[in-house]
Amino acid sequence: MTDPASGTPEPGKADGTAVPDKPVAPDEPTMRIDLPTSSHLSGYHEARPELPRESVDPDLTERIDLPAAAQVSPARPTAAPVSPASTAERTTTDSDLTERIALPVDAAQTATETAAEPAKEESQPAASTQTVAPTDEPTELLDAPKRAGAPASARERLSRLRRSRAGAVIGVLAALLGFGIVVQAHSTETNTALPAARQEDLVRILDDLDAQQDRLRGEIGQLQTTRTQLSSGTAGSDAALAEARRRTQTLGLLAGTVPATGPGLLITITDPRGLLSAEVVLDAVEELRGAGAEAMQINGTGGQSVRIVVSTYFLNGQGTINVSGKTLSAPYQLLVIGDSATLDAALRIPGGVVDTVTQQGAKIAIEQRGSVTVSALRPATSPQYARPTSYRVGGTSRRHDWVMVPVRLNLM
Amino acid sequence: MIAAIGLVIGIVLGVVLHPTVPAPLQPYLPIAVVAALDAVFGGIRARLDGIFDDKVFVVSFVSNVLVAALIVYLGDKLGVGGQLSTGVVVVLGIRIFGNAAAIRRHLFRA
Repeated sequence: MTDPASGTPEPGKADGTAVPDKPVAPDEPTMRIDLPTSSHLSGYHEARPELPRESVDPDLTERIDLPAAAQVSPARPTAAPVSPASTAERTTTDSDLTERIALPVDAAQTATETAAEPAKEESQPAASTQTVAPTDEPTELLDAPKRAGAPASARERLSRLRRSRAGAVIGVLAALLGFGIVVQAHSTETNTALPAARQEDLVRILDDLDAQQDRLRGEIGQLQTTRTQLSSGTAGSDAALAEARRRTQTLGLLAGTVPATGPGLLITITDPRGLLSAEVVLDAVEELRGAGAEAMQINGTGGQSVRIVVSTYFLNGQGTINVSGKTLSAPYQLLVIGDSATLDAALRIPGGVVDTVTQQGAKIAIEQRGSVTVSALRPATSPQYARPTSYRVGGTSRRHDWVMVPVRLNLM
Repeated sequence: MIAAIGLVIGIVLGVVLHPTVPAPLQPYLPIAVVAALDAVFGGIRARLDGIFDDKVFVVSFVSNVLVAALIVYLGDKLGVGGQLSTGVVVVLGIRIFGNAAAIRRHLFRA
C-alpha cells in the first residue's frame, strides 16, 4: 500500500501509545466526517455497507493496512491535534484510507464485543477473496487509475497489450482444455481402456480371463462328450431301427402277417373221391418245412386260402379239410417258397408225401416255379401271457434274441 | 469471451482431428482435464467476483494440471496410482462444486 501522505503528521490512532487517546471527545467528529469519504473512494469494495465507526471490518484492517499504520504511527507525534482543514484536503489520496482503517485497530479492540455480529458478517467475503485470488491486489492497482478516470494512456496501452497477450494465452489454454476433453472422451468411448489400465488392474483382468478360460474349457469338454454320446447314440438307434425293421420283416414272414414272394413250388393235389385225409396234408407241410420252406399257403376251391404258420392246424371234414377254421375242398393248391429242388426232392422221397397221396387215391402235381407269391395273410396276434424275458434293443441281449428265432423254427 | 472461443476451437479440433492419446499419457489426461476444469471454474468465479487476473489464471491452470499429473505419476511409481487419482478427482471435484456454488450465487443470487 502506497501512502503518499504517510510523511505528513497524522492523528495517531493506531499507535499502541495512542490507545488512551481513543475516548478523547474532540476526535470524534473528525472521524465521522472522514468515514463516508473514504468508503466512497474505495469503490472496489462495492458491497461494503457503510458501517458505524465501531464496526468497520477488522478483517480489512488486518489484510491491508495494519502494517502501514504500524509503520507510520511510531514516527508520529502522539498528541498532534487534528484540524478540520487537514482532513478536508485529503479527499482523493489514500491517506484517509489509512486513517479510516487505522481507526478500527483500536476501535476494534474496544468494540469487538458490541459489534461482533456485523464483523462476522463481513469476514466471510473477505476471506473468500483472499483464498481465490491471491493476487487481487495487483489487479486493483492496475485498475485503480482507470476507475478513477486518470488519463494515464501509456500505462493503459501497456496494460491493454498485456491483457490481449494474456487473453491469447487463456484462449490457447481453453482450446487445450476443450481438445483434451474431446480427446479423452473419445478415447474412453472407443478404447476398452486396456492400454490405460494400471498394472494391477491388468493382472486382475488377466486372472479373470484365465479363470474364464478354464471354465470355458471345462464346458467345451462336457459339450464334446455330450455330442459324442449323442452322435453314437444316434448311430446306435439307427442301427437298432434298421435291425428292428429287418426283424419285423422276418418275423412277419414267419408269422404270416406279410405277403411273400420268391422261388418255390406250386403243388396241386386233386382228390376226386374225397378220401384225402388231413394228416396227409399235414405230413406234406411238415416235410416241406423240414426241407426249408419259408412261407406256405394252401388254397381250396372258390378262392379260399389259408396262410400256413406255426399255429395252423388241419382237421378232417366231410370230403374236405378244415385248416385253421376254414373249410377247404379239393383240389388243393400248396404254394411254397424255398429252394425248389430241395423241396421237390423232399416230397418225392420214397414212401414220402407223393407216395402217400397216391396211395390214398389222390393225385399230386409238383411244379417248380421261379416266382411264387404267397399272398394270404394271417392276422397278427399278441401273446396273452407270454412276455419276452430280456428284450432290449441295442443291448447285449440282441444275440440272445436272435437265438430265439431258429429255436422256434426248429420247434416247427 | 476469448476463453469460450478457444474452448469451442479446441472441441472442434478434437472432433475433426480425431487423435489418439499416446499410451504414456493416457493415465494423466483425464486427471489433467479435471484439474484444468477446476482452474476454469475458479477463473469464472474470480471474474464474477471482479478479481480475475490473467496471470493468476494462467499460472493456476498450468500448475493445477502439472500438479495433478505429478500426483498421479508419483502414485503410479508408488503403486497407489489408482487410489491417488481417485483422491485427486475427489478433491478437484469438491473444489469445482464449491466454485460452481459461488458462481451460482453470483448469477442467480441463490
